[in-house]
Parts: sequence; structure tokens; C-alpha cells
Amino acid sequence: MIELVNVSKSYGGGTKKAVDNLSLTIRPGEIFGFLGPNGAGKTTTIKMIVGLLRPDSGTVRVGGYDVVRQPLEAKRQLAYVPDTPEVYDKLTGLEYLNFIADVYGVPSGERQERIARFADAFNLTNALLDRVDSYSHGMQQKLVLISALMRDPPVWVLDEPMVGLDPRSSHQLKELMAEHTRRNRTLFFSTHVLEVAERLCDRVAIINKGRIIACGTLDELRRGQTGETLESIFLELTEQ
Amino acid sequence: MRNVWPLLRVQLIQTWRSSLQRMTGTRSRLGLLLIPLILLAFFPLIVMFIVAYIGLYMGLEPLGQAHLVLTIALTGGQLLCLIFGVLYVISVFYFSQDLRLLIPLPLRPGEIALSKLMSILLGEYLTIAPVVLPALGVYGVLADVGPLYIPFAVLIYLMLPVVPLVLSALFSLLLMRITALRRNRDLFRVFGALVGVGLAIVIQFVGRFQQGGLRVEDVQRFVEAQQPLVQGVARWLVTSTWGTQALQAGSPALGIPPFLLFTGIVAVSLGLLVAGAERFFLGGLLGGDEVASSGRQVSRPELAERTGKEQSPLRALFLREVRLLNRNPTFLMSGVITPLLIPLFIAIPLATGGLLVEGIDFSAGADLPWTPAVLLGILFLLNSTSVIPSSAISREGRWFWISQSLPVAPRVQIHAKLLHSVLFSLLNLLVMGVVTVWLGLGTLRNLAVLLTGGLLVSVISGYSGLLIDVLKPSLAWTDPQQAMKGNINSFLAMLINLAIVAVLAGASVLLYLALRPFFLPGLLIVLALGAWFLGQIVGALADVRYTQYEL
Repeated sequence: MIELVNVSKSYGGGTKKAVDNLSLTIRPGEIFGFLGPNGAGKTTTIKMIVGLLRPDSGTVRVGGYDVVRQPLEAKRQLAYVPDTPEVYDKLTGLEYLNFIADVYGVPSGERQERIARFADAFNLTNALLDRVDSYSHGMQQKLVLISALMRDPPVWVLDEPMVGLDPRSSHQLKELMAEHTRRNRTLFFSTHVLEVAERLCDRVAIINKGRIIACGTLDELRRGQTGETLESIFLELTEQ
Repeated sequence: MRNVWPLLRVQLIQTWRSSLQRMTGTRSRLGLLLIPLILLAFFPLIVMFIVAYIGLYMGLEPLGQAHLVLTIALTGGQLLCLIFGVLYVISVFYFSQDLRLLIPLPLRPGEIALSKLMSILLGEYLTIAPVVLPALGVYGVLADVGPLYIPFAVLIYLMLPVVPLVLSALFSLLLMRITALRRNRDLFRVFGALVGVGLAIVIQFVGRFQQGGLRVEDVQRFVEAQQPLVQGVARWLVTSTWGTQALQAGSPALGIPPFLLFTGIVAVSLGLLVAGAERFFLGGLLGGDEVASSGRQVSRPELAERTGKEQSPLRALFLREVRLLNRNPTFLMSGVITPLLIPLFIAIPLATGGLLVEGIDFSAGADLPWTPAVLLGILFLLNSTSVIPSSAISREGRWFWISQSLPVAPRVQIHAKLLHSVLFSLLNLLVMGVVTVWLGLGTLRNLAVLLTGGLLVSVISGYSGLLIDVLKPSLAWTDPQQAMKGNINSFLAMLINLAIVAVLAGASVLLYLALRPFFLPGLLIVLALGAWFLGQIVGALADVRYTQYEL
């Protein structure tokens, strides 16, 4: 469902390599955790998956579509939640959701049902008629999540999705993530909360200085390392 | 006040980073090529002012009033700062995104206000340059000036925008404090714009100096009629009088006292700004900082009812443009104020029987083949002043990731922006229609050509603005004015539009010579082809460029 083949990306005219020859395949029905220290290349990788950045070399495919050559088809396959939930602050929450539903072609009946369901789940219903500039960071995060989830695409790409969420909403999101993959759909998310990754993910990859330094199930990662928990493995690997 | 310099430094780096990077070679220097182009573009305007000031000087010199050239230029420059400074100052003082970082720091409000004012100042030097510098030059060359003229001229020019900007700042400080304005910012901005329009009317009367080729008798007639007004405005902006006295003085002994008075009032005004900021800045900022949520319960049926019916992506994108512009007062006023002001600038001399139209019967030319073509040319120039298309992508700023991630082709997104800009151009078309009828030119043929060609002209000017913004949007702004007034794209779009007008004028002449009976239909076909061609270019560029911007 998501495939990265030898993907590289540099900044500053090629002087700083943010992602270096990265290859990954995330299968349907899989929750894939993407871990790494700050500045390791997580967000750059995610932005290349969703088409916000063009790779310097390599190929990114989402749902079988090449993100560079077939950008519109690829975008229809995925829902993206960025690490900073910046949404048009002069629109009301509902206007923003309607806008997203229109450009993604979500039919009226489905959008009504889904907006109501997700707004209830994230306790945002009473704020939907207010302008986004009255929202807290967490409320904006919920709005972006609802706008992504209401489209029900096969691939979710979430960059630090738990940041700013209250415990109840965080729990709700984890439930939704699990349900999504139970329907044989794909979930790729980055996080710094290693306990969450340990509990939710089928597989994880650890990226450091733009390169994948470990990838696999937790059991696979434990092999060859002295640590037992994901945290100790992470610390061990990223210190090297 | 020791923090003013570090603060100013940060603001300047933020505002001018890309230019600095080009200068130091850390970014492509291609952008530097724009500098001679910009200077070249200003050249006709500067020549126009030089000619006007020379005419004025020649007319005033026999009356012993040649120094009025300086008074008018200094007053005009300050009024420009005052009018366009109001919105800029409010935007920078109260709506900059860096305020949320600055306020928690141990900085005095006066330090923040002073550094922000100084960062605005740099932009104002460019604004007043075409009005003030030619007058300083003309007077310096033609008059018998003293040895201190050049240093005084430089220093006065550098200090000139301070007093009007401080006035704007004090005005906004008081108003923000009194009305907790961040809750009512839309209303406030409209009010600010109305103040600007009122002052613009004053300027327009002063500006009647610049109409047509000035003859000595015109100037003398004008001085007799308007001198009280000029002097009244100059008295109000007392710096103009003292600046004039310092510059016209033949000797240092006569020039230094008014210069010191000029410098003193600038210093006092800065002191007033600091005192006003210490007293009112934080109160106005924090008093209405929170945007209130309604706090009311929303029922399921109400939510279902308010959830929209499915509509096309183009319509949804168009509505987004309308809402985002209308609900941001900085965007709305910057986008609308020029199209509102320019017809006003044209209408006032017409309505008051100014020099331009006295004794001319326009209706005699109603049936001339060139009349509707000239009307279309004027409409094109009016449209070219609109910043709406040339800031259409820039305005998205940090939210541009949304457009980039939408499964809608960039060329479709661009066309939603085009429709939005055409909507505003209709205002100009309406004004032109009214003026056409009022001048007795409103024949069926003229109105039909104006309507059809006007729409095409609006599309072309919209595309040319979009073309510039597609190529190089200014997305990294921290205060909305940077996307509008501080965005060079608006100026570049104006240049492109001028070039297009020149090309179209040439094409019109050729058409007229080659196909006289089909001149007007031919012109409309040329416009339609031009619009289609530009649309193809802009659409193709958007498809490429949207994926290249890296936020």
C-alpha cells in the first residue's frame, strides 16, 4: 500500500541529506510505526509520501500510484495529518470539513453521518460552528483528524497524531487506528511516544540521520540488542 | 531601550532574509536581476514627477513661492505614509504572529513598539521615494541652495516618515485599547480604511498639481486657489514647514534652527510612541486576545442541516477564496482599497470640474472607433492595481500545505482564484460603465464592447497577477501585510500588466490599420486569444510549481 524505493532528499542545494536512500514497504492491514530522534528525517519522509515534497531520487507509491507521476490518484488514496495542525483560521470548523468533503467528493449523506460520528468521538461537536481561530491546539488537531478520517481512504499517514490530544481523544484515536487496520487498510504513523508504538504497531522502523537503522517487528528488533523494551532498543540504536 | 536593536535585527532578518541570502550568495542571485527592472519601472513615474515639479517651480518662482515645491513634496510624502501606514501599522503592531513569542519575553512594550515602527520605516522610504526625491532633486538643482542642503535633504528624508507613522501608531494604540479591538477587528479595519479614504481625498486636491502639462499661468491660478489648502495641510504636518525652511535656507545660521526643530519633533514623537505603548500596547493586545467561542450546544439535527450539500471542487475552492479574503481585514482592505480609491481619484476632479475636463465635450467622441478601446485600456490599468490575483497563493501562507495535499489539479485551484479576482474586477468594470455613461459615451456599441472586453481584460489581468504569484509566492509571512503590501509580486504584476497593455495597444493599431471595419470584433478576438493563451501558461506553470514549493 505504501512503497518507498531508494528515496533520497537533500536540503540546502544538496549539502544536507535529510533522507538517504530509504526503502520501505508497508502492507495492507498493517500499523507501521516510524520512530527517530528529532531531525532524523521522519517528517521529510512523511511529506514525500503525501506529495508535499518531491524526492530527489527514488520512487514513492501509495495504493499503487506513483506520488510524483500520478499525484492526484495517490492523494485520493490517503489521509494525512501533519505534525502541526494548521487549518484556515477564518473558517468555522464545519466550513473546513465541508470544504474538504467537497474537494474529495464525499457525498452529502456520508459526510453528514461521518462528521457527526467523528465529532462526537472527539468531543468537538459544540465547537464546529465556531471559527478555527477560537480553537486550542488540541481542538485543531481533532479537526484535522476528522477531516482526514471522514474521507475513509485506504491509507492513513499520521505525523505525531497524539500530540495535543486529551487522554480520551487519544484513546479514541487508537481505537480508530486499530479498527482501520482490521479492515485490512494501511496505517503509517510517526511518534515519539514509544509505549504507544510498542503497543499498537505491527512493525516499526527507526530512522536516524536520514537512514533506516532498524526495521521489523519488536521481536525482530530485539535480536542482537541488549534491551528488551522499544525504548531501550531505540536508545541503544540511536546512540551508535 | 537597550533591547530595541536586537529586536529590530530579528525583525529585519525575518523580513529581508531572502534578499540577504541573495546578496550573500546562499540563494540564487537571479532575483537580483529584478532590481534594475524595478528601477526601470519607476523611471517613468519619477520623470513624471520631475517634470511636474519643474513646471511647478517655474510657476512659483516668479511669485517668490518656489519653496512650496518642497512643502508639497514633504507633505505629500508624509500623507502617503499616514494613509497607507494606518493599515500597515495596525497589522504589524497587533496582528503579527511573532507577538505571541515577544510578549512573554521580558521586553518593555515601548521597546517592541519602537522596533516594529523602525522595521516599517524601511518600507516607507520606498513608498515616498517617487514623490519626495524628485522634488529634493529639482529644488536642489534649480534653487540657490546653501552648503547644508544635501546633508539636510538626506537627514530630512530619513526622518520624514517617522511623525506620520507615530501618528498612525498612536491612533491604533488608543483605538485598540479602548475597544478591545481584536474582537471587532473587521469593523476596526473598515473604520481605518475610511479614515484613509478621507485623507486620500485631501491628497487628491493637493495632487491636482500633477494634472497635465503645467503652464506658468495654471500654476499661478492654482496657487491662488489652493494655497490655503496646501498651507493648511502643511501646518497640520508641521514637519513639512520646518523641513522646507531648513532646506530653503541659504546659510547654516538660517537652516540649522528649523532643522533642529524638525529633528526635535521627530524625537518627541518617538518619545510619545514609547510612552503611548507603555501605557496602552499590552492592554489593547491582551484585552481582546482570545477569540471567543460561542459556547453553545449544537444538536445533531442542526449539525446535519448545517453540513453542506455536495458541490463541485471548483465551487468549493472559490468559496474558500471568498471567505478567507472577506474575513481577514488586512487582506480585504488591501485588496479592495485600491479599486475603491482609484475611481474616487478619477471621479473627484470630474465631479468638481477640474482642469482636465473643463470645456471638453466627451460625447462628441462616442462613435469614434477608438473610444471603447481606450475605455478598455483604462479598465486594464485599473485592474492592474489590484493585489488580489498577485497575492492569491501568497495569502495561503502556512496553510498552503492544504492546497498541496488536495486531490485537485493545481490548474483547477488556480482557476478558482481567477474567478475570485474577476469578481473584484467587476467593481472596476461597474465604475468604468458609470463613468462612460456619465461622460456621454454610453452608446450601445461602447457598453457592449466594454462589457465583453472588460470581462476578457479582467481575466487577462487576473492571469498575469496569478502568473507572478505562481512563479514565486511569498508564503513565509508572519504578518498578513507581508502577503499584500509587502509582497513585491503585486508590483511585478503591475509591470507585466503595463507591458501587456503596451502590446495590446500595438496590436490594436495594427488591427485598425489592417482591418478597419472589423477593428472592434478583431480586438475582442485578440483579447480572447490572449486570455486563453495566458490561461494555458498559468495552468501549466501551476501544475509544475505547486509541487515545488517546500514549506
